[in-house]
Amino acid sequence: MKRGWNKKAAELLLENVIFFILVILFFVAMFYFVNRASTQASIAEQINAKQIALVIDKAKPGTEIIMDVSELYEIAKENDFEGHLVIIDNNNKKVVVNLASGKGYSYDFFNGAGIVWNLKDKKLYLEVVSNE
Amino acid sequence: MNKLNKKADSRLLSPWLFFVFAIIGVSIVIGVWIFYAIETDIRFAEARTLSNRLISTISENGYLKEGVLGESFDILEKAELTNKSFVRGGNFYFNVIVYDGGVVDGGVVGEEVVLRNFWGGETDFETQCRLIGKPLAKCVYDEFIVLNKTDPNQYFKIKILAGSNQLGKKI
Repeated sequence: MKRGWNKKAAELLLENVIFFILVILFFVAMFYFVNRASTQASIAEQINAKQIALVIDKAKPGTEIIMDVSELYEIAKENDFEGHLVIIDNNNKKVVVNLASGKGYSYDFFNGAGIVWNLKDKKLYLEVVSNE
Repeated sequence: MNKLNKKADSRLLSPWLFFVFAIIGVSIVIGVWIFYAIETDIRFAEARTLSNRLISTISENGYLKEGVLGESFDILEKAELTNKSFVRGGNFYFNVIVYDGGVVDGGVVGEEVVLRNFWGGETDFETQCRLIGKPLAKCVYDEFIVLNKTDPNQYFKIKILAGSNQLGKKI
């Protein structure tokens, strides 16, 4: 009688333990998925390329801008990427943001002024220079 | 009888549990996928920026800038806009029309005579701007009045249409 009761209790305990492990596994998997999706390189590339292009378009000659791009360094580190994170192509009037090897996002700007730029200390320094 | 039903319940619990988990999981995956699949659309902001650049290029403190009505006035150069972006088949378009508004206090308002018409870029945006749809250009219309610097009694009506249809691209 005592043995039977112990067996039942053990079964119940085992069932509950398995149930809890399954629930925890499920929520960990969901958290991992959402977290990974939110730090995806392609989204950050797109948002930052557009943001930089819009800033350049709004700027008038003589404007100096400092943008915090530390987030880009973190994402690039997660992707083991050590190349150029931001490229501003003055000839083709394009901003290219690349946070993973072989990939990148390109966005055009229409500001005809020259853009002097530099990436330093996780900051993007921009200076709009008149062509005249 | 009771015992039998309880067993049946617990047997049924596992498949239902996994079914519920699957529904929750799939819903989260679809929700996240939809959220991040949406492109960040800055076309309207670009059109607004372009329009603002053009406004500050031709007017200043409520007056028409000098030289705007001259034949040699190059709006692309004055607004520091790149020629490459404003070509047929490109992603941008603008149209600036300067009308002769007439005389302010004389009570004489003549017909809208076009004094200057500047445009550049993809002219099809003139049509696209009147339509609604994701692949169509996003536009900004502005209409305002400026005075003549040399004769404050004369005013000019200015209409500006600026549009962008740039969606960016992955390399």
